[in-house]
Amino acid sequence: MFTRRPGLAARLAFWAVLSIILIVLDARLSALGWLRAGVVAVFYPVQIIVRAPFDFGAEVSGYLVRHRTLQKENAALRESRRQDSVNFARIGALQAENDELRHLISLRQTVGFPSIAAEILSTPRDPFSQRVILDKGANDGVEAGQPVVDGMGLVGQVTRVFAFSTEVTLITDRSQAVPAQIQRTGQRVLVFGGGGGMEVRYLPTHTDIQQGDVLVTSGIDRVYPAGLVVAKVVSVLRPADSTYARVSCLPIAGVEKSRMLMVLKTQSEPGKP
Amino acid sequence: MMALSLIIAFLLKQVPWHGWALTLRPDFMLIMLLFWAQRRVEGVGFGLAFVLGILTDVQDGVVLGQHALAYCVGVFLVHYFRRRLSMFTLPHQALQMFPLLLLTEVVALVAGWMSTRTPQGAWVLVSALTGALLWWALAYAGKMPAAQPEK
Repeated sequence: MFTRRPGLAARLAFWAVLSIILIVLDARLSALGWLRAGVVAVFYPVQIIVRAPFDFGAEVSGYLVRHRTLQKENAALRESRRQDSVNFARIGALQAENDELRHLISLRQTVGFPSIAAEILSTPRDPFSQRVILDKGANDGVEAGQPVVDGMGLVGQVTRVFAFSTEVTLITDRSQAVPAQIQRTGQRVLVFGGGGGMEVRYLPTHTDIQQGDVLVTSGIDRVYPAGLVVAKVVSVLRPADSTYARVSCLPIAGVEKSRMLMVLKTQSEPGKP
Repeated sequence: MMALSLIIAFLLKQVPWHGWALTLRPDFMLIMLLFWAQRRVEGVGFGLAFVLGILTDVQDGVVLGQHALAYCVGVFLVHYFRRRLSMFTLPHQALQMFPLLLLTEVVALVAGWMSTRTPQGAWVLVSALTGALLWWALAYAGKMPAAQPEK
Protein backbone atom coordinates (compact mmCIF):
# COMPACT_ATOMS: atom_id res chain seq x y z
CA MET A 1 0.00 0.00 0.00
CA PHE A 2 2.71 2.42 0.98
CA THR A 3 5.61 2.92 -1.33
CA ARG A 4 7.73 3.54 1.75
CA ARG A 5 7.00 2.49 5.33
CA PRO A 6 5.62 5.42 7.27
CA GLY A 7 8.08 7.15 9.61
CA LEU A 8 8.71 6.20 13.21
CA ALA A 9 6.80 9.15 14.62
CA ALA A 10 3.82 8.47 12.34
CA ARG A 11 3.63 4.88 13.49
CA LEU A 12 3.87 5.96 17.13
CA ALA A 13 1.04 8.42 16.56
CA PHE A 14 -1.14 5.69 15.05
CA TRP A 15 -0.68 3.28 17.96
CA ALA A 16 -0.96 6.05 20.53
CA VAL A 17 -4.31 7.11 19.10
CA LEU A 18 -5.44 3.48 19.19
CA SER A 19 -4.42 3.26 22.87
CA ILE A 20 -6.23 6.44 23.72
CA ILE A 21 -9.38 5.19 21.99
CA LEU A 22 -9.13 2.04 24.12
CA ILE A 23 -8.68 4.08 27.29
CA VAL A 24 -11.73 6.18 26.50
CA LEU A 25 -13.83 3.13 25.60
CA ASP A 26 -12.87 1.38 28.81
CA ALA A 27 -12.83 4.22 31.33
CA ARG A 28 -15.67 6.38 30.09
CA LEU A 29 -17.99 3.90 28.40
CA SER A 30 -17.02 0.63 30.11
CA ALA A 31 -17.44 -1.09 26.75
CA LEU A 32 -14.57 -3.56 26.91
CA GLY A 33 -15.61 -5.95 29.67
CA TRP A 34 -15.68 -8.89 27.26
CA LEU A 35 -12.09 -8.28 26.11
CA ARG A 36 -10.84 -8.16 29.69
CA ALA A 37 -12.78 -11.28 30.67
CA GLY A 38 -11.41 -13.12 27.63
CA VAL A 39 -7.78 -12.31 28.38
CA VAL A 40 -8.26 -13.25 32.04
CA ALA A 41 -9.82 -16.59 31.09
CA VAL A 42 -6.89 -17.39 28.79
CA PHE A 43 -4.25 -16.58 31.38
CA TYR A 44 -5.87 -18.04 34.47
CA PRO A 45 -4.24 -21.48 34.00
CA VAL A 46 -0.86 -19.76 33.63
CA GLN A 47 -1.38 -18.01 36.94
CA ILE A 48 -2.14 -21.31 38.65
CA ILE A 49 0.93 -23.02 37.17
CA VAL A 50 3.26 -20.23 38.26
CA ARG A 51 1.95 -20.35 41.79
CA ALA A 52 2.33 -24.12 42.10
CA PRO A 53 6.03 -24.18 43.12
CA PHE A 54 5.39 -21.50 45.77
CA ASP A 55 2.48 -23.43 47.24
CA PHE A 56 4.61 -26.57 47.18
CA GLY A 57 7.44 -24.76 48.97
CA ALA A 58 5.08 -23.54 51.67
CA GLU A 59 3.78 -27.08 52.14
CA VAL A 60 7.27 -28.56 52.46
CA SER A 61 8.37 -25.95 54.99
CA GLY A 62 5.15 -26.72 56.86
CA TYR A 63 6.22 -30.37 57.22
CA LEU A 64 9.57 -29.34 58.60
CA VAL A 65 8.13 -27.52 61.63
CA ARG A 66 9.90 -28.82 64.68
CA HIS A 67 8.22 -31.30 66.95
CA ARG A 68 8.73 -29.15 70.03
CA THR A 69 7.04 -26.20 68.38
CA LEU A 70 4.05 -28.37 67.66
CA GLN A 71 3.91 -29.62 71.24
CA LYS A 72 4.04 -26.08 72.57
CA GLU A 73 1.34 -24.98 70.17
CA ASN A 74 -0.77 -27.96 71.12
CA ALA A 75 -0.54 -27.13 74.82
CA ALA A 76 -1.44 -23.51 74.15
CA LEU A 77 -4.41 -24.54 72.03
CA ARG A 78 -5.67 -26.93 74.72
CA GLU A 79 -5.49 -24.15 77.26
CA SER A 80 -7.29 -21.66 75.05
CA ARG A 81 -9.92 -24.25 74.18
CA ARG A 82 -10.70 -24.79 77.84
CA GLN A 83 -11.23 -21.09 78.27
CA ASP A 84 -13.20 -20.86 75.05
CA SER A 85 -15.62 -23.59 76.03
CA VAL A 86 -16.50 -21.59 79.14
CA ASN A 87 -17.01 -18.46 77.04
CA PHE A 88 -18.91 -20.43 74.43
CA ALA A 89 -21.47 -21.65 76.93
CA ARG A 90 -22.00 -18.05 77.99
CA ILE A 91 -22.30 -16.88 74.40
CA GLY A 92 -24.91 -19.54 73.75
CA ALA A 93 -27.03 -18.19 76.57
CA LEU A 94 -26.53 -14.63 75.36
CA GLN A 95 -27.38 -15.59 71.78
CA ALA A 96 -30.63 -17.14 72.89
CA GLU A 97 -31.49 -14.07 74.89
CA ASN A 98 -30.47 -11.84 71.99
CA ASP A 99 -32.63 -13.79 69.54
CA GLU A 100 -35.59 -13.42 71.81
CA LEU A 101 -35.07 -9.69 72.20
CA ARG A 102 -34.59 -9.25 68.46
CA HIS A 103 -37.74 -11.14 67.80
CA LEU A 104 -39.47 -8.92 70.29
CA ILE A 105 -38.55 -5.75 68.50
CA SER A 106 -38.80 -7.50 65.11
CA LEU A 107 -35.38 -6.43 63.93
CA ARG A 108 -33.97 -7.80 60.77
CA GLN A 109 -31.39 -10.52 61.38
CA THR A 110 -28.07 -9.00 60.45
CA VAL A 111 -25.50 -11.67 61.16
CA GLY A 112 -24.87 -15.12 59.76
CA PHE A 113 -24.46 -14.67 56.01
CA PRO A 114 -23.19 -17.66 54.07
CA SER A 115 -19.68 -16.95 52.91
CA ILE A 116 -17.11 -18.15 50.38
CA ALA A 117 -13.53 -18.62 51.53
CA ALA A 118 -11.01 -17.39 48.97
CA GLU A 119 -7.26 -16.96 48.74
CA ILE A 120 -5.40 -13.95 47.34
CA LEU A 121 -3.93 -14.85 43.95
CA SER A 122 -2.04 -11.68 43.27
CA THR A 123 -1.69 -8.05 44.26
CA PRO A 124 -1.36 -5.82 41.17
CA ARG A 125 1.05 -2.96 41.73
CA ASP A 126 -1.12 -0.21 40.41
CA PRO A 127 -0.69 3.32 41.72
CA PHE A 128 -4.33 4.20 41.14
CA SER A 129 -6.04 1.56 43.19
CA GLN A 130 -5.64 -0.75 46.12
CA ARG A 131 -6.83 -4.10 44.85
CA VAL A 132 -6.30 -7.81 45.20
CA ILE A 133 -7.27 -10.72 42.97
CA LEU A 134 -8.97 -13.72 44.64
CA ASP A 135 -9.04 -17.31 43.40
CA LYS A 136 -12.84 -17.67 43.44
CA GLY A 137 -15.12 -16.30 40.75
CA ALA A 138 -18.57 -16.40 39.25
CA ASN A 139 -18.43 -20.22 39.15
CA ASP A 140 -18.29 -20.27 42.95
CA GLY A 141 -21.17 -17.83 43.32
CA VAL A 142 -19.28 -14.57 43.77
CA GLU A 143 -21.14 -11.47 42.55
CA ALA A 144 -20.04 -7.90 42.04
CA GLY A 145 -20.86 -5.72 45.03
CA GLN A 146 -20.47 -8.35 47.73
CA PRO A 147 -18.46 -7.38 50.81
CA VAL A 148 -15.16 -9.12 51.60
CA VAL A 149 -13.98 -9.70 55.18
CA ASP A 150 -11.20 -11.45 57.03
CA GLY A 151 -11.20 -12.81 60.59
CA MET A 152 -11.02 -9.31 62.08
CA GLY A 153 -13.17 -7.07 59.97
CA LEU A 154 -14.09 -5.53 56.65
CA VAL A 155 -11.46 -5.74 53.90
CA GLY A 156 -13.19 -4.50 50.76
CA GLN A 157 -15.79 -5.00 48.10
CA VAL A 158 -15.96 -7.20 45.01
CA THR A 159 -15.69 -4.93 41.96
CA ARG A 160 -15.10 -7.26 39.01
CA VAL A 161 -16.03 -10.90 38.69
CA PHE A 162 -14.49 -13.30 36.18
CA ALA A 163 -15.23 -16.98 35.75
CA PHE A 164 -12.53 -18.25 38.11
CA SER A 165 -11.21 -15.12 39.75
CA THR A 166 -12.45 -11.97 41.36
CA GLU A 167 -11.13 -8.46 41.75
CA VAL A 168 -11.60 -6.89 45.16
CA THR A 169 -11.19 -3.17 45.79
CA LEU A 170 -9.85 -2.67 49.31
CA ILE A 171 -11.49 -0.21 51.70
CA THR A 172 -8.22 1.74 51.69
CA ASP A 173 -8.70 2.51 47.98
CA ARG A 174 -9.22 6.18 47.31
CA SER A 175 -12.48 5.57 45.50
CA GLN A 176 -14.07 3.64 48.37
CA ALA A 177 -16.40 5.12 50.99
CA VAL A 178 -17.91 3.02 53.78
CA PRO A 179 -20.96 4.16 55.73
CA ALA A 180 -20.10 3.46 59.36
CA GLN A 181 -20.92 4.49 62.88
CA ILE A 182 -18.82 5.15 65.94
CA GLN A 183 -19.32 2.13 68.17
CA ARG A 184 -19.07 4.16 71.37
CA THR A 185 -21.62 6.86 70.54
CA GLY A 186 -23.62 5.50 67.61
CA GLN A 187 -22.87 8.62 65.55
CA ARG A 188 -23.04 7.86 61.82
CA VAL A 189 -19.97 8.75 59.77
CA LEU A 190 -18.50 8.18 56.31
CA VAL A 191 -15.06 6.55 56.14
CA PHE A 192 -13.05 7.17 52.96
CA GLY A 193 -10.05 5.22 51.73
CA GLY A 194 -6.81 7.19 51.66
CA GLY A 195 -4.22 4.99 49.99
CA GLY A 196 -2.57 3.38 53.02
CA GLY A 197 -4.94 4.44 55.79
CA MET A 198 -8.45 5.82 55.91
CA GLU A 199 -10.10 9.04 56.99
CA VAL A 200 -13.46 10.23 58.23
CA ARG A 201 -14.67 13.24 56.30
CA TYR A 202 -17.47 15.75 56.73
CA LEU A 203 -17.53 15.51 60.52
CA PRO A 204 -18.21 18.83 62.32
CA THR A 205 -15.36 19.85 64.64
CA HIS A 206 -17.47 19.53 67.79
CA THR A 207 -18.38 15.88 67.15
CA ASP A 208 -17.65 13.49 70.00
CA ILE A 209 -14.93 11.33 68.48
CA GLN A 210 -11.60 10.46 70.04
CA GLN A 211 -8.45 8.47 69.51
CA GLY A 212 -9.09 4.73 69.88
CA ASP A 213 -12.75 4.84 68.83
CA VAL A 214 -13.82 1.82 66.79
CA LEU A 215 -15.89 2.35 63.63
CA VAL A 216 -18.33 -0.37 62.52
CA THR A 217 -20.50 -0.55 59.40
CA SER A 218 -23.91 0.97 59.90
CA GLY A 219 -25.69 -1.15 57.29
CA ILE A 220 -27.39 1.89 55.82
CA ASP A 221 -26.30 1.52 52.19
CA ARG A 222 -27.35 -2.17 52.06
CA VAL A 223 -23.96 -3.05 50.58
CA TYR A 224 -22.27 -3.88 53.85
CA PRO A 225 -24.27 -5.65 56.56
CA ALA A 226 -24.38 -3.77 59.86
CA GLY A 227 -21.85 -4.46 62.60
CA LEU A 228 -18.69 -5.31 60.65
CA VAL A 229 -15.62 -3.76 62.24
CA VAL A 230 -14.04 -1.28 59.83
CA ALA A 231 -11.36 0.90 61.39
CA LYS A 232 -9.86 2.39 64.52
CA VAL A 233 -9.33 6.13 64.96
CA VAL A 234 -5.64 6.97 65.31
CA SER A 235 -5.74 10.76 65.45
CA VAL A 236 -8.27 13.57 65.63
CA LEU A 237 -7.32 17.11 64.64
CA ARG A 238 -9.72 20.00 65.06
CA PRO A 239 -8.25 22.85 63.00
CA ALA A 240 -9.47 26.27 64.09
CA ASP A 241 -9.94 27.49 60.53
CA SER A 242 -12.11 24.61 59.33
CA THR A 243 -15.68 23.47 59.88
CA TYR A 244 -14.70 19.82 59.76
CA ALA A 245 -12.53 17.72 62.02
CA ARG A 246 -9.62 15.88 60.46
CA VAL A 247 -9.91 12.27 61.59
CA SER A 248 -7.50 9.62 60.36
CA CYS A 249 -7.95 5.93 61.04
CA LEU A 250 -6.38 2.60 60.26
CA PRO A 251 -8.29 -0.46 59.06
CA ILE A 252 -8.62 -3.15 61.75
CA ALA A 253 -8.74 -6.08 59.34
CA GLY A 254 -5.39 -7.16 57.94
CA VAL A 255 -6.16 -5.38 54.69
CA GLU A 256 -2.61 -5.76 53.43
CA LYS A 257 -1.64 -8.81 55.47
CA SER A 258 -4.32 -11.50 55.29
CA ARG A 259 -4.01 -14.18 52.64
CA MET A 260 -7.33 -15.93 53.24
CA LEU A 261 -10.42 -13.79 52.87
CA MET A 262 -14.16 -14.44 52.93
CA VAL A 263 -16.70 -13.12 50.45
CA LEU A 264 -20.03 -12.59 52.21
CA LYS A 265 -23.09 -13.61 50.22
CA THR A 266 -25.42 -10.87 51.29
CA GLN A 267 -29.01 -11.77 50.57
CA SER A 268 -30.43 -8.39 49.74
CA GLU A 269 -29.81 -7.07 46.23
CA PRO A 270 -26.23 -5.82 46.56
CA GLY A 271 -25.43 -2.30 45.40
CA LYS A 272 -23.34 -2.42 42.26
CA PRO A 273 -19.91 -0.81 42.67
CA MET B 1 14.47 -17.00 22.16
CA MET B 2 12.63 -13.71 22.11
CA ALA B 3 9.23 -15.30 22.69
CA LEU B 4 10.66 -17.40 25.51
CA SER B 5 12.16 -14.40 27.31
CA LEU B 6 8.90 -12.45 26.99
CA ILE B 7 6.96 -15.38 28.43
CA ILE B 8 9.40 -15.58 31.34
CA ALA B 9 8.93 -11.83 31.94
CA PHE B 10 5.17 -12.37 31.98
CA LEU B 11 5.46 -15.25 34.44
CA LEU B 12 7.74 -13.22 36.72
CA LYS B 13 4.97 -10.67 37.08
CA GLN B 14 2.50 -13.39 37.96
CA VAL B 15 4.53 -14.53 40.95
CA PRO B 16 2.85 -13.20 44.10
CA TRP B 17 4.88 -10.18 45.25
CA HIS B 18 4.48 -8.48 48.59
CA GLY B 19 5.40 -5.28 50.41
CA TRP B 20 8.76 -3.77 49.54
CA ALA B 21 9.49 -6.26 46.82
CA LEU B 22 6.27 -5.13 45.16
CA THR B 23 7.28 -1.47 45.29
CA LEU B 24 10.76 -2.15 43.94
CA ARG B 25 9.64 -4.66 41.34
CA PRO B 26 10.79 -3.48 37.92
CA ASP B 27 8.41 -3.85 35.02
CA PHE B 28 9.97 -7.04 33.63
CA MET B 29 7.78 -6.99 30.57
CA LEU B 30 8.79 -3.44 29.63
CA ILE B 31 12.52 -4.07 30.13
CA MET B 32 12.40 -7.26 28.10
CA LEU B 33 10.43 -5.55 25.35
CA LEU B 34 12.84 -2.62 25.12
CA PHE B 35 15.82 -4.96 25.25
CA TRP B 36 14.59 -6.73 22.13
CA ALA B 37 13.47 -3.46 20.55
CA GLN B 38 17.08 -2.32 20.66
CA ARG B 39 18.44 -5.55 19.19
CA ARG B 40 15.79 -6.58 16.68
CA VAL B 41 14.46 -3.44 15.10
CA GLU B 42 12.41 -5.34 12.55
CA GLY B 43 11.11 -7.97 14.97
CA VAL B 44 9.77 -5.68 17.67
CA GLY B 45 7.29 -3.09 16.50
CA PHE B 46 4.52 -1.06 17.96
CA GLY B 47 2.01 -3.87 17.39
CA LEU B 48 3.83 -6.20 19.76
CA ALA B 49 4.24 -3.42 22.33
CA PHE B 50 0.54 -2.68 22.08
CA VAL B 51 -0.54 -6.29 22.62
CA LEU B 52 1.83 -6.77 25.57
CA GLY B 53 0.56 -3.51 27.03
CA ILE B 54 -3.04 -4.71 26.90
CA LEU B 55 -1.92 -7.93 28.59
CA THR B 56 -0.29 -5.94 31.40
CA ASP B 57 -3.39 -3.78 31.78
CA VAL B 58 -5.58 -6.81 32.28
CA GLN B 59 -3.07 -8.37 34.64
CA ASP B 60 -2.94 -5.24 36.79
CA GLY B 61 -6.65 -4.62 36.54
CA VAL B 62 -6.26 -1.06 35.30
CA VAL B 63 -7.83 0.89 32.46
CA LEU B 64 -7.23 -0.91 29.15
CA GLY B 65 -4.75 0.98 26.99
CA GLN B 66 -2.78 2.61 29.80
CA HIS B 67 0.27 0.38 29.50
CA ALA B 68 -0.31 -0.14 25.78
CA LEU B 69 0.29 3.58 25.30
CA ALA B 70 3.30 3.60 27.62
CA TYR B 71 4.94 0.59 25.96
CA CYS B 72 4.48 2.13 22.51
CA VAL B 73 6.20 5.29 23.73
CA GLY B 74 9.00 3.16 25.20
CA VAL B 75 9.58 1.32 21.93
CA PHE B 76 9.54 4.61 20.05
CA LEU B 77 12.20 6.08 22.34
CA VAL B 78 14.44 3.02 22.04
CA HIS B 79 14.16 2.98 18.25
CA TYR B 80 14.83 6.69 18.14
CA PHE B 81 17.93 6.56 20.37
CA ARG B 82 19.11 3.19 19.13
CA ARG B 83 22.39 4.27 17.57
CA ARG B 84 23.17 6.52 20.48
CA LEU B 85 22.52 3.73 22.98
CA SER B 86 24.72 1.20 21.26
CA MET B 87 27.67 3.61 21.44
CA PHE B 88 27.87 3.42 25.21
CA THR B 89 29.35 0.87 27.57
CA LEU B 90 26.85 -1.12 29.57
CA PRO B 91 26.87 0.91 32.84
CA HIS B 92 26.43 4.09 30.82
CA GLN B 93 23.69 2.46 28.81
CA ALA B 94 21.85 1.70 32.03
CA LEU B 95 22.24 5.35 33.00
CA GLN B 96 20.70 6.36 29.67
CA MET B 97 17.86 3.91 30.16
CA PHE B 98 16.85 5.43 33.49
CA PRO B 99 15.27 8.65 32.13
CA LEU B 100 13.80 6.64 29.28
CA LEU B 101 12.08 4.20 31.66
CA LEU B 102 11.07 7.09 33.88
CA LEU B 103 9.38 8.80 30.96
CA THR B 104 7.56 5.58 30.06
CA GLU B 105 6.32 5.13 33.64
CA VAL B 106 5.21 8.77 33.69
CA VAL B 107 3.17 8.19 30.52
CA ALA B 108 1.40 5.26 32.22
CA LEU B 109 0.89 7.37 35.33
CA VAL B 110 -0.57 10.31 33.43
CA ALA B 111 -2.80 8.06 31.30
CA GLY B 112 -4.10 6.39 34.46
CA TRP B 113 -4.65 9.72 36.16
CA MET B 114 -6.49 11.20 33.19
CA SER B 115 -8.86 8.24 33.06
CA THR B 116 -9.60 7.66 36.75
CA ARG B 117 -8.83 11.03 38.37
CA THR B 118 -7.47 9.62 41.57
CA PRO B 119 -4.44 11.40 43.02
CA GLN B 120 -1.39 9.23 43.75
CA GLY B 121 2.08 9.49 45.19
CA ALA B 122 5.07 9.30 42.89
CA TRP B 123 6.75 6.39 44.70
CA VAL B 124 5.80 4.05 41.84
CA LEU B 125 8.50 5.69 39.75
CA VAL B 126 11.06 3.87 41.89
CA SER B 127 10.62 0.93 39.56
CA ALA B 128 12.32 2.95 36.79
CA LEU B 129 15.48 2.86 38.91
CA THR B 130 15.36 -0.89 39.52
CA GLY B 131 14.44 -1.26 35.87
CA ALA B 132 17.65 0.48 34.80
CA LEU B 133 19.63 -1.90 37.02
CA LEU B 134 17.83 -4.83 35.48
CA TRP B 135 18.72 -3.49 32.03
CA TRP B 136 22.37 -3.60 32.99
CA ALA B 137 22.11 -7.23 34.13
CA LEU B 138 20.16 -8.11 31.03
CA ALA B 139 22.66 -6.45 28.71
CA TYR B 140 25.39 -8.68 30.15
CA ALA B 141 23.23 -11.69 29.40
CA GLY B 142 22.66 -10.14 25.98
CA LYS B 143 26.24 -10.87 24.99
CA MET B 144 25.07 -14.41 24.25
CA PRO B 145 25.16 -15.26 20.53
CA ALA B 146 21.39 -15.69 20.29
CA ALA B 147 20.86 -12.09 21.34
CA GLN B 148 23.43 -10.44 19.05
CA PRO B 149 22.04 -7.64 16.90
CA GLU B 150 21.28 -8.71 13.37
CA LYS B 151 23.86 -7.59 10.84
